[in-house]
Amino acid sequence: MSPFRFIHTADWQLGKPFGRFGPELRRDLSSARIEAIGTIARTARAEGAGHVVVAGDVWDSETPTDETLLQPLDAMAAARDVTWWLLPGNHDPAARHGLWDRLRSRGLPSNVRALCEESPVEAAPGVIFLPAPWRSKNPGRDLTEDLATQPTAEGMLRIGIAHGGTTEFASNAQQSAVIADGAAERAGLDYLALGDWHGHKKVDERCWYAGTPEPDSFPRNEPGYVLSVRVEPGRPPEVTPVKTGRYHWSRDSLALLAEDDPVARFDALYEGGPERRYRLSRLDVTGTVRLDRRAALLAHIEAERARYAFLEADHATLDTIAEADDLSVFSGEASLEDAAGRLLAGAKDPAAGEEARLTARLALDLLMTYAA
Amino acid sequence: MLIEAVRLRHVRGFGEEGVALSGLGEGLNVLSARNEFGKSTIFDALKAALFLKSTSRHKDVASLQPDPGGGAPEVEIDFIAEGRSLTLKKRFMSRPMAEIADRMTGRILHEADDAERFLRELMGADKPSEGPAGLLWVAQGESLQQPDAREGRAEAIQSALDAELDDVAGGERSRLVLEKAKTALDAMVTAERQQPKAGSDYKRAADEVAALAEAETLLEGKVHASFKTRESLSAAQDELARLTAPEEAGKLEAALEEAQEALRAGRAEAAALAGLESEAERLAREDVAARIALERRRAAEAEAQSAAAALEAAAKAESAARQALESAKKSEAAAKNASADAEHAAKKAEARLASARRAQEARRAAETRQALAARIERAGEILSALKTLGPPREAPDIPALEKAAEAAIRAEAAADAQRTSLEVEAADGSARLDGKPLEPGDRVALADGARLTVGDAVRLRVAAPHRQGEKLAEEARARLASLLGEAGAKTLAEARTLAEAVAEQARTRRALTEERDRLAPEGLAPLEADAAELDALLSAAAGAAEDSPPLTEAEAAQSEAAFSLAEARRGLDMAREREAAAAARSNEAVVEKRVAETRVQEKMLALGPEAEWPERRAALEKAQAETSAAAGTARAAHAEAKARLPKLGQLEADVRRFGEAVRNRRERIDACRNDIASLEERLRHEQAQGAEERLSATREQRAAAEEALGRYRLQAEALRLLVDALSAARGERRALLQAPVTAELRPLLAALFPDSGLVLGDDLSPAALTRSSGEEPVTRLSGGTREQIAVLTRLAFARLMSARGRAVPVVLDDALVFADDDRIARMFTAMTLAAPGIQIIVFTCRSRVFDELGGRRVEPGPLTRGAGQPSASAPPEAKEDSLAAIRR
Repeated sequence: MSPFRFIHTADWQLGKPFGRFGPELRRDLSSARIEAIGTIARTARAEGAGHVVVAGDVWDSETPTDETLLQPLDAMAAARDVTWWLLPGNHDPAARHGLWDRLRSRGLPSNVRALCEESPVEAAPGVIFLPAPWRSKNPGRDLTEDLATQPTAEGMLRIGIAHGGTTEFASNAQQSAVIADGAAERAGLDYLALGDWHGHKKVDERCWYAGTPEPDSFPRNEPGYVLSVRVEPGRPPEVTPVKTGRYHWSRDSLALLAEDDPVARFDALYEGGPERRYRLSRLDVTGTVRLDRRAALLAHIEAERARYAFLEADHATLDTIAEADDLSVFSGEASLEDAAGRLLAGAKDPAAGEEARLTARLALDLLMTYAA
Repeated sequence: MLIEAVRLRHVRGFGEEGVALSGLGEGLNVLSARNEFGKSTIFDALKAALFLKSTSRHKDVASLQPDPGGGAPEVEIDFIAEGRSLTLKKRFMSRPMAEIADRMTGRILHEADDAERFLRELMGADKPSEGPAGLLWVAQGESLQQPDAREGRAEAIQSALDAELDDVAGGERSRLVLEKAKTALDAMVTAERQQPKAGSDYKRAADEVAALAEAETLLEGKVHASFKTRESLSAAQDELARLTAPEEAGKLEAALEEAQEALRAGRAEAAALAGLESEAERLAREDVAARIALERRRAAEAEAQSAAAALEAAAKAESAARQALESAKKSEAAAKNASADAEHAAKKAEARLASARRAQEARRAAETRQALAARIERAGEILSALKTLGPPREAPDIPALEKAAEAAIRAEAAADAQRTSLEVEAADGSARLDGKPLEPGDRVALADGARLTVGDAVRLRVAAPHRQGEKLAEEARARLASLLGEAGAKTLAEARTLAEAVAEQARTRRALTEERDRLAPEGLAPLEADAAELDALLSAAAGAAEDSPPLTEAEAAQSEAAFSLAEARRGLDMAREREAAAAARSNEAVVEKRVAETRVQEKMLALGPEAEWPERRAALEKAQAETSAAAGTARAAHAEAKARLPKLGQLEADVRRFGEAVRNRRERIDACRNDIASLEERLRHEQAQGAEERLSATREQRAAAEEALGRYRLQAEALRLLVDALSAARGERRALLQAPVTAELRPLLAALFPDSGLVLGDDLSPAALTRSSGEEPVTRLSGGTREQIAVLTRLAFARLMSARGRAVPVVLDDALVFADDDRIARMFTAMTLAAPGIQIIVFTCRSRVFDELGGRRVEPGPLTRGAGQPSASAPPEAKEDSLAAIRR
């Protein structure tokens, strides 16, 4: 039997609101998730794969709007040479009269298949998909357990499709549906395609998380990929991550020393990275900065924000020191110096609460801004 | 700067000839002139020349123009500045020019814009309201306005306080920062409650949070509603599936059919039972009729017997009444005889009395004494007898007693006639009355409710007629007994005897009393007196008739006879009455007997011959026994059939139940289909809205909005903190900055308000006056005090500026309007104290008051008369009509 190649992806979470951002960015991020479908289709063609398996959480909620529900179907239908296999996950379980019944009542495109039943499906000659769909938000058990009880003919490729956390990161997973270690081995699978973990990740030789193809949060893993999978009887699968994400989300940190030029350090941090207009960064500014340079840094960050899709700097813990030279910014106006001294003392006062110190720091920043 | 002379031409009322002020110098300069002289014109011209460009079209310049066609306003000022004697010449409006010349050399130092720039630098401002003039000059009508160093005026005083500013370094920049912070804070929060201000981003963020929270609640409701719709739809579909399941279909219909069949059979049995019941009821009615006929027969027989007994009693009563009548008639005859005898005796006694009286008349004298003696004796006997008799007694009321006795007899007879009695003719021991066996020959009265039984089969209850007669008889007897008791007798006869005795006693008493009254109406004493008198007379007379009965005897006999006659007559009346009563009773008894006879005849007629009674009764008893047996048989048959009958109610309930179940199921199926259609439509609509997706978005937006709100809140807090920190820092600096001003002000203030101090504001303007009584805001002080403080503060500023080499004249145009005599004198003292080292120019119209001010008097004069003389230090050539240069 010839090898079977397909694209493994998951966690599209279409309709994710991105409510914390402004309306324009919200719209762009939402569009990017739909447009990722086209990117995945192109990737499939490039990899010579005729099937795309989405391992759960295709939609972000059980009752999306009609637009959110239907527009991605059109995008999938447009890629006629690709068959899309959609598995209900914890965000979009196949509950009665839920999203998947709604899809059925409207009619799915001919190249889109919903995996709402636990029964095996022959995806291609000699290739059996064994889905483990979610039927509610709290199934209460490891849904991959049933895969072992579903026999297939000798020589058929058994590819399991499931969704949920594994014991490795159970604290982040739905406890009721934690997938036990060795699930692929136990069920006699050639490959187990998993969803739920938003970064791509190898669980074991035959089991992978694809991650989300278009990042949607400030992760500590690697989102923005799909997996190109090649399966052949009797051999371990070949899995290749392929980048698909348009936007780059990152948590960044800038730890400053008093002698640093903070503005230069900031510029260096983002130099050479992804294109800034597709970059969403949450920056933690820590360490120590001199009073005069603090204002310059904050003003610079504020001025730079327009370049980025999103830039948010947290400098709540950035310590500020002020020496005699630093007060030269006030040109000897004693009342300004005096006020700055009071605020700086308040910002460092261990007896005051964190909120009071934060308020004093911000007041000092404002003083520097107004006096500039 | 020290002004020495001012000259005007073509300025308002000062026309071609103009006006000149000269001789001005350091210290106090006083121009005292009448109203309408033009002091304010000079003041305004000074301001215009020093602060407004010659090319200006400012209204203050325009206002300087004289009447139309009067020429362009021209002003010339001699002054000393920067150690030089200078002259400023300016012409406004038409052909404007500005020029500053050195009076020592006559050389023009500055012209046109250069001259204006020189002036601006010299005066520290280019507007009359700013710089030293704005600070130190008081125009007419502005005396209450306090000096302040706000805005452009600040530089005037602050330039004089450079040293302090250098020391405290809290100048304009910190003020600007503070203003920015305050402005920013003011834009964010309300002044009083520090709440987000309408129109601010802060308020918008707060509103957005509230709006999103509301939207979130709404969407949560929609999500919940959609969830409920799904649940309802599932439930409806499940129910429809159950209702339409093949194994369930037809089950209820079959059960209904079966129940209906059972009900039909039950109803047929019930119809047969109704026939039996009807027959049993008919036989029961016949049995009741037979029983009633028998009972009626028995009752009628008893009534007939009772009537016969009543007839017998009536006959006896009638016989007794007749005998009583006979007896009464005999009594009446005897009484009649007795009455005739008594009448005869009475007539005889009357005759004897007459004889006696005649004898008495014959023997009048002797007899009188004898009679009197007898009378006395008799009277004594009578009195003794009366005493023996005792008090009179009340006789029983015999007529009432007799009437009651008669009524009792009649009532008893009537009751007796009503009584029912039972005569036992034959008995075998089974007949009992109230449990007591009846024996042949017994005659017993039948009381109401008495029970007569014959063995166990026959039980009769006596229903007697009403017992009114008994009750009346009882009442009559009671009445008689009551009257007898009252009379103290046991019987009527005893009562009569008692009555006779009482009557006899009464008669005796009456006779004795009458005799006593007759014989001795006034007692024995008068009689004995008469006797003594007669004895005396008789002793004188002799002889008396002896054969005639004594008169008293005759009279007594006559009286007794008369009494007996009356008694006999009364006895006759009574006998007649008794005879009439007896006759009436006899008549009644006859009537009653006839009534009883009639009743007996009626009963006998209905019942037939008495000999046939047992036979007829036996026939009825037999018939009743037969109907009773038939009725019992029918009842048993009905009861048996009834026990066999199935419970129709249950069968009907089953039919109803299954019928309703079938109907309910069909209706439920229809309802489920309708519900499903409607729920599916609703769900489609709800899902299309994407409530959950929108809720998720709203929650994230709200979280972001709350973060933003938190940032604004922090920003406001930080701004407040910054304002507080800067205000505190500036407050400390202000105290240092104000120290020199306060030092200059202190001695001047002491001249007017001993032991007082002045609190200055941020802008160095007087804010409050502190005295021993406390601190009073300047705005609340009297007009006079405010005016005086305003002048003193200006003088202090001027002294300070002069001391720091920035001398500027103080010009006061009628600045002391409200001061009283005492205060104005003190003000003059304060001004005199302030004057050294500075120039004070005072314009006033109150010449008499200001005469006490001292200082240098300045007299205005026309230009043409050389009033505008150059200063003493000016070179001779400068003393020419300097306006000629302006004209050039």
